[in-house]
Amino acid sequence: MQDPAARRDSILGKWLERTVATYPPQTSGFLRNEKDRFRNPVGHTLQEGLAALLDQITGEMDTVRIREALGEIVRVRAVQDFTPGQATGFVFLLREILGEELPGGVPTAWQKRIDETALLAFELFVKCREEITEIKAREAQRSFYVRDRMRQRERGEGT
Amino acid sequence: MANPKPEELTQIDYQPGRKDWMNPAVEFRKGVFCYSAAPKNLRYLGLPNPREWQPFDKDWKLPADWKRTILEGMRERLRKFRSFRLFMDICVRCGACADKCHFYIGSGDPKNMPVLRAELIRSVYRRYFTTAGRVLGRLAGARELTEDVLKEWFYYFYQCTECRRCSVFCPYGIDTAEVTMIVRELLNLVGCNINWVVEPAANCFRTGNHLGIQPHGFKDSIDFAVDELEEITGIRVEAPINRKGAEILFVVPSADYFATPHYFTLLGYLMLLHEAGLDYTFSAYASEGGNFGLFQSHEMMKRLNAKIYAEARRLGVKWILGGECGHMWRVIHQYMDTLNGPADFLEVPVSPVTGTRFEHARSTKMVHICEFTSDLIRHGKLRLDPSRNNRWNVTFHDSCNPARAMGLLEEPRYILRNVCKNFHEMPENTIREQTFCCGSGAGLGTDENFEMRMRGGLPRANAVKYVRDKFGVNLVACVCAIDKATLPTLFEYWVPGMEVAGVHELVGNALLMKGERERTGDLRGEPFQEKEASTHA
Repeated sequence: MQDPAARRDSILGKWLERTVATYPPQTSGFLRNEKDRFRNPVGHTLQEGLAALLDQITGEMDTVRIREALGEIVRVRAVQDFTPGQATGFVFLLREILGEELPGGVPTAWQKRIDETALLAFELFVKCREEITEIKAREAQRSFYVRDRMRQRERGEGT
Repeated sequence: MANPKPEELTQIDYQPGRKDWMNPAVEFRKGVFCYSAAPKNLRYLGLPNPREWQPFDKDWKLPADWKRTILEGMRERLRKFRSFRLFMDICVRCGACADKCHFYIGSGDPKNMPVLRAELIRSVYRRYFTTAGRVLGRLAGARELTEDVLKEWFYYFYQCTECRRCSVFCPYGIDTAEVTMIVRELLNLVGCNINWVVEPAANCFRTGNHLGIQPHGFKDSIDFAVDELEEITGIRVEAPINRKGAEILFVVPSADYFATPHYFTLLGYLMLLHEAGLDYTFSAYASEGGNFGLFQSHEMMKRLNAKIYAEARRLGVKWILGGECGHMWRVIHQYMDTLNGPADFLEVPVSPVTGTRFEHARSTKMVHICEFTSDLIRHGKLRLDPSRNNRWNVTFHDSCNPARAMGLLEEPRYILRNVCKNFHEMPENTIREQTFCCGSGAGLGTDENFEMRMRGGLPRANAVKYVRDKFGVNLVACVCAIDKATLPTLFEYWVPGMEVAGVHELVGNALLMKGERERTGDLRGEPFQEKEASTHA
């Protein structure tokens, strides 16, 4: 496989650039340039996550690390103004960037990894959306806690 | 519409087009807005234009003269509130506030930049109330008031939690929350309001609290708490309701007696007030600290706030003690005095235990329970065993209103450092006056608005996650009922496993009461970890 180490910064820079471009133009600069992770959690998540994904896709392909980094990014995009395709499609941007950066073309193995990563992104997206439904139900339960507890007591169901 | 062809399906445009900010079109997609107010609630409060409608409807069934009503409403408020006129005129669009809003940070939507959100009404102000705007129109940043602009106002001003973080950074001191408050007032004039604000206000007006709990229901809940406390501590505390002649009226947010984790805070209060030997009473009508009028109009805020002082007068108390409520304190500290005050029939609050005179409350006559408790601890009046909170590794979330509207920064921290052993602050630019909102205040904490809440709460959750990973924090303490209702939800999504508690729940855990039975577990029924005999006295 090709060693993309020399091109890493350039590839990562382009991937980040094109991913923040999926946000409104007035915002993409902020997401890219604000380095304080607490003032810019979305940008920070993208910067860290994309770097980890790039290293794994072009390196070890450790699925635990992939899942972790991808999960962080997708969790953010799952509640932002994106369709499912837009929320997860940033993964495919890597293929075109690698094509531009690597003169010998993108190795087939990496193409396959990008596809696998994109599928995993979609899976994680769906998982986030399912979680939302469950979380909402639990929130409703909490708001009637005392009433439910009183009823349990009346029925002698203990504490 | 014909189904797209397979090759069309794969053509996803990842890049949004540059949209002119003056274009008011918004899409009401489920998950990012709140449902409209039910007509029965508008009728109950005598508010205009009650009708069945939803924000995603094309026809909002506005009154025929809605435009005149809005412009007249603006004219009246520009005359009445010098602050509003100033906020319309003075902004130089320096951008200091732009990236300070939690909704902007979490959503990336430029219209969530406080400067641009305010520009949505400033542009209308320029068009109708300034010469330059009238003559030059768009060139002077002026916009016509159209139905689309009204819809845009509804969309974005119900995406502001009135937390005032942006105001901290404004070099001119523009209180952007007050811009939101005025726009919401204007929207209310034509019946464009949300149920999560209007229904609690209507309930509050009728029975005194957000859920519409009647006096017997209120008494049942308090009695239930007294019974449970007796099981836990072996001590039967008094929790009087509507007792005339008590020295102090105690007002709490209603969630404290119906929701979790609020309820454990209520148990903590009851223990503390018993141990301090306070001569106090609850009121079944002033059974709500929260004031959803604040999120609606100054008139409604005044109507709801009045009950606390009416009850203080009726019961003949000397002063008022307030529980762990958030926006109640903004109303008390910033508006009460000119709404319903001065409360000159009450006395300047003095702690009967320590003799401390709470001079800062000499006008409102209302003291925050964290001020009261920290004073007790400072004077060595409480016996505390912080090791009883050993299962918790705690951080403190400054609730927006107590922090920014009343400057309650040190007292909760002082209490926490005395009642638990493991305490870690979140990063400096996310706490105290720079605290990040829960993303669900100002009436936005409803489940249909879930995605927007998760966006708005991301900066807060992000800092919590940091202290979890760095210090092993597993509990966020706070002093606001909306926080307690919505932070657990926020953390379930962003920081799973993180728990939320009121400061006085932790006080209740640590408090050694005279005559208590040997306690083996905390107020949640969980066993204490490694019991130690260290006390603070």
